[in-house]
Amino acid sequence: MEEQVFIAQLLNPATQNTAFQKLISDYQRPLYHHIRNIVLDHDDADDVLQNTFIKVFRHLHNFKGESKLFSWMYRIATNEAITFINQKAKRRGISTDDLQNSYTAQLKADTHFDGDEAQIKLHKAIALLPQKQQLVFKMKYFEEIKYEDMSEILDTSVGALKASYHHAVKKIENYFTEN
Amino acid sequence: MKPFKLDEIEKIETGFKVPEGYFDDFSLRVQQKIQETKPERKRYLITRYRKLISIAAILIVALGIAFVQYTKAPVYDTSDESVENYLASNHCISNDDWAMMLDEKDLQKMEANMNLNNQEIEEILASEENFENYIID
Repeated sequence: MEEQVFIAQLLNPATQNTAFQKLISDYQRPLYHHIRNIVLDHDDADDVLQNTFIKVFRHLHNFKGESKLFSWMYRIATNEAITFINQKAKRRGISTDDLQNSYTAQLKADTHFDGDEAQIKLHKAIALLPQKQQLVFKMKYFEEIKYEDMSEILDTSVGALKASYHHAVKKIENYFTEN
Repeated sequence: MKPFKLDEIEKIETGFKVPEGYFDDFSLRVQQKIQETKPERKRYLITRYRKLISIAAILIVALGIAFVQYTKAPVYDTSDESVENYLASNHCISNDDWAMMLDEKDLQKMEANMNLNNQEIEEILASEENFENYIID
């Protein structure tokens, strides 16, 4: 009910600006980390985050309330981030996998990265996973999103998500054992 | 070597840093960008429907030309009576004109094959009351 009232405020021109500022304030941090985990680079994450909120603002009138506002926004952010890295790879004439591998290879040089060897190793291991497994692993392991919410965001069954996460963990563990 | 187990070690964080003060003015930047990109939407809509508008315009012009041609075209009354009246009122149609309108086949059909000798011609003319007209023509 509270969410419906908030959505009504977002759609009402008289209260829209204040409500939208609150929406940004509540979601900017979790959405930033969600996007950053996908695109990896801070400047890219900044672009995608801005575009995500602009898209949310423009399409608020299309939000039917069939899913939670949280899930709807995460879905937009996920699509924007994946589209962004796919387009970036295409512009460079390389695959998305190669783009991510090249980024993780020079992670140490990134001024907006403050990780140790284990963290770099984990990013390298994740970059070797299929795109869907990467997404599920990052959302579960780093962001600690519940499977039920993830199911709404990614439009995938909870069972399939658990299987994806399980396979991802096994592959990462093997990578750590072998390297 | 002991197999590595992710849940047996302390959680590994991403290591990603956010520049200091990044979120302070983020809301403002988004609001500004929304204002800046407003005209883009109108242009996008026009671009999106440009093909449809072009097709509609071509159709309207084509239908307009067809309509004007149709309404300007003279209406011909081609009934038998009209044709007869026309022919009766146009005495200037010569034999040559008629011949122009007929093709070779029509002309051949019209050539009667009459092998008449003088005696027969005289008999035919004698039986006609106004035979003088034939002789004049």
